[in-house]
Amino acid sequence: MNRRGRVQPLLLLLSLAVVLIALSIGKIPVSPEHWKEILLGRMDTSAPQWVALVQIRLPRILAALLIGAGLSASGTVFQGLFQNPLVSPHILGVASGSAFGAATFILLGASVPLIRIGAFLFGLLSVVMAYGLGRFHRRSPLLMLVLSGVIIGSLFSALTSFLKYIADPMERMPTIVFWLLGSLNNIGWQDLAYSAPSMVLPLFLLWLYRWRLNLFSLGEEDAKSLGENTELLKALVICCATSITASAVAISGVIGWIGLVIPHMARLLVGSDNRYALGVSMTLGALYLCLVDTLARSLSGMEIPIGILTAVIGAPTFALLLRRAFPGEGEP
Amino acid sequence: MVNKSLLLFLLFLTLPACTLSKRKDPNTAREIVDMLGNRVTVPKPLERVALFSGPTGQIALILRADKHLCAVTKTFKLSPLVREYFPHITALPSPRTVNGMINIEELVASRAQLLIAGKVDGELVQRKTSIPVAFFEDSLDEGPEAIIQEIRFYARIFRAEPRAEAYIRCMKTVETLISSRLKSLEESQRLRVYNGFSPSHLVTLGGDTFFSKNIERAGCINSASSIKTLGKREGLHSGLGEISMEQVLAWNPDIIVVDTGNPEALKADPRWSSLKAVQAGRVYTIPSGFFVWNRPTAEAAALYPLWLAMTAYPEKFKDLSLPAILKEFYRTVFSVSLRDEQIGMILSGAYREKMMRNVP
Repeated sequence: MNRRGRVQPLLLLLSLAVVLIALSIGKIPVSPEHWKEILLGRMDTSAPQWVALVQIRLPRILAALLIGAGLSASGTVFQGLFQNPLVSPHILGVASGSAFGAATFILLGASVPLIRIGAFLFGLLSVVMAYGLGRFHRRSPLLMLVLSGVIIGSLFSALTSFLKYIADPMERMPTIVFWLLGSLNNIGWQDLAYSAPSMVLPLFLLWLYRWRLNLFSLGEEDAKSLGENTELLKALVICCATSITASAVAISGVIGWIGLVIPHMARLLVGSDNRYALGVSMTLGALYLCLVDTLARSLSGMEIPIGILTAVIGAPTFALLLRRAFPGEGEP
Repeated sequence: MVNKSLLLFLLFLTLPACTLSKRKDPNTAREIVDMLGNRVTVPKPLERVALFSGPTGQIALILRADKHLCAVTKTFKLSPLVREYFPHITALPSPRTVNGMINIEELVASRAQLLIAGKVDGELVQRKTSIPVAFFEDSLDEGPEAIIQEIRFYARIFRAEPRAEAYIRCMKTVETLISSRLKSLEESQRLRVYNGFSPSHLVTLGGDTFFSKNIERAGCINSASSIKTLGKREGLHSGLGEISMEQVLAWNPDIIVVDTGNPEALKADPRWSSLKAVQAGRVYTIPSGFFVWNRPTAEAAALYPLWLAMTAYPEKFKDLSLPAILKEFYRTVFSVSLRDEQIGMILSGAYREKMMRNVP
C-alpha cells in the first residue's frame, strides 16, 4: 500500500482510541465493572454512570465527530471548488445567516428547537441569496459567488449586530452572544436526531462524488472542454456543504478554525487528490473536535469555550505540520 | 510680553481654585464619600441624579429617592413592578445600555448634577464630562454586608439615612428568623442546592460569589461551591459560569432552582430525570420581584435566603406564611402594598417572564 493509502486507516484507528478515551473521561468516574455492566445491559438506566455515559457523553461525542467531520469536509470541497486555500465553509455567508436566524428566534423568545430550526433555515437562505446574486454575472461566476457570499455575509452580520443592539442587555443580548460563541455542552440525543440526517446524507454524497471534485482543479473552461458539466457538480457541492454547515451551526453555534485549517492538514498529509484528501480531512476533523471537546469539558470545573481551544491547540499543530511539510524552506 | 503671558498663566492656575472654593460653600455644596473612598462634592440641594447601576439601583426606590432621578439604565425600566409603582421612572432617559456603552450626550442632556456608577461607566463619564461621579463597589464576591454598605452609601447621597436603617433592620429581622428556626439543623442535614440558570440550566454562580453566601444563609449548601465563577465571561453576566451536564450529575443536588422554562420539563429529560432533586419533585423556579432574586439586590439579599429556607425546610416554618411576610416586607421597605396575585407572581417567577416581554 502506498503512503497515502496508509494514512486513512491509521487515522481511523486513532479516532477510535480518542473516542474511547473521551468516553472514559468525565466528572463521573466509570470503573471497569461499570463498563461491564453497561455493555452487558445489566445496569439500571437511572444509575449516574449510565446517564453520564449514554445520555451525556455519547451524544456529545457523536455530535463532535459529526460536526468536526462535516465542517472539515465542507472546507475541503469549498477550497477545491473555489481554488482558494483561504476559503472556509462559512464563505457563502452560512454562519452569518444562521447567526441572524438564531438571534431573531432568541429575540422572539422561541424555544431551543425552534432557535435551531431558525438558524438552519436562515443559513440556507443566505447561501441561496449569495448563489442567486452570483448568477447575475456570467463572466467569472466563481469570483462573483465568493463576492456575493461576502456581501450577504456582511448584510446578515450587520443585521445580527442590530438585533444585539435592540435586545435587552440583561437577558436576550447575552443569550445571543453566548449562543454565537459555540458549545457542544447542551447536546442530547434529541438534538442529534434532528440534525444528523441533514449532515450525514450530504456527507455521504460528497464522499461518493469525491473523485469528481478533482475536476474543479482543472478550472471551469477545461472541465467543460472535457465534456463535464461542472455547473451541476458545483450546485451539488454547494448544497451539501451548506446543509452540513448550517446544521452544525444550528446545534453548536459558530465553531471556527476547523473548516479552514483541517483541510490544509489533510492535504499536507496525503496531497490534494480529493479521493484521499476528503476522507482524511473528515477523519481528522472528527478526531480533532472530539479531542478538543473532551478537553473543553474536563480541563476545569467550568466549561471552556470550544472556539478558544480549537485555535490554541490547532495553531501550533498546524505550524508544526507546515514545518515538516516544507523542511528547509525559509532557511538561508 | 513675557510678563503678560505669565500673568495670564497664573490666572489660569488660580481659576480652578476659585471654582473649587466656590463649590465648597456649605450653602450650595456638600461633600460625600463614595464606596471607593473618594470625596465627591455635590451641589446642594441635590435634585437630579443619574443612576447607572441596573437592578441594584432599586435602592433608590427603597430610599424614596425616585423623584430625584433624572436618568437610569435600560434594565431598570423593564421591571413590571417598577413600571406599576414608579411609573415616572419609565419616562426617564436611559443613556446606558450595557457596561461601557453610554450615550454621553443623552446623559448631559438629562442635566444630571451627580452620577452614581460602577468603575467602567464612571471613569468613562469622568473623562468626557464635568459631571461629578460617585462610585459604588461592583464586585460580586461579598454577601449582605456589601448590600448594607451600599444602601448606606446611597443614603448619604440622598440624605435618607432613616429609610436605609429601616431596610437594614428588616433584613436583620429576616436573618434572625431564619437562624432561630434552623438552630437545630445538623451540618449533615443541610440540603445541597444547585441553581441552574439560562435555558440550558447549566449556567451557575460559584462558591466565590455573593450568591453562595445567600444560599448558606438559608441553611443550605451551594452545590457549585467548589468552583469559582467570579469575573466576566463573554455572553454571560459577571459572576456567572457555564458548567457541564455531567458536573450536575456528579453533584446530584437535593434541590434545583431554575430561572427559565418549566421545572416539570426536567422530568422528561433523560439527562436530568435521574437526579435526586428531580426524582423528589424538588425543582423550583427562582422568584422575581422588582428584579430576579439571583442578582445582588437589596430585595434578594433579604428575601432569597428566606424563600430558600422555607422551601428547603418547610417543616421548620409551618406556622409562618411566606406571602404574608413578603407583603409586610414590600410595605415596609418599598412602601408599596402588593395584591395577593402580585405576591403569587413574585413567587412563581412570573415577573421575570413579564420583564422579558417588556423588551421593546
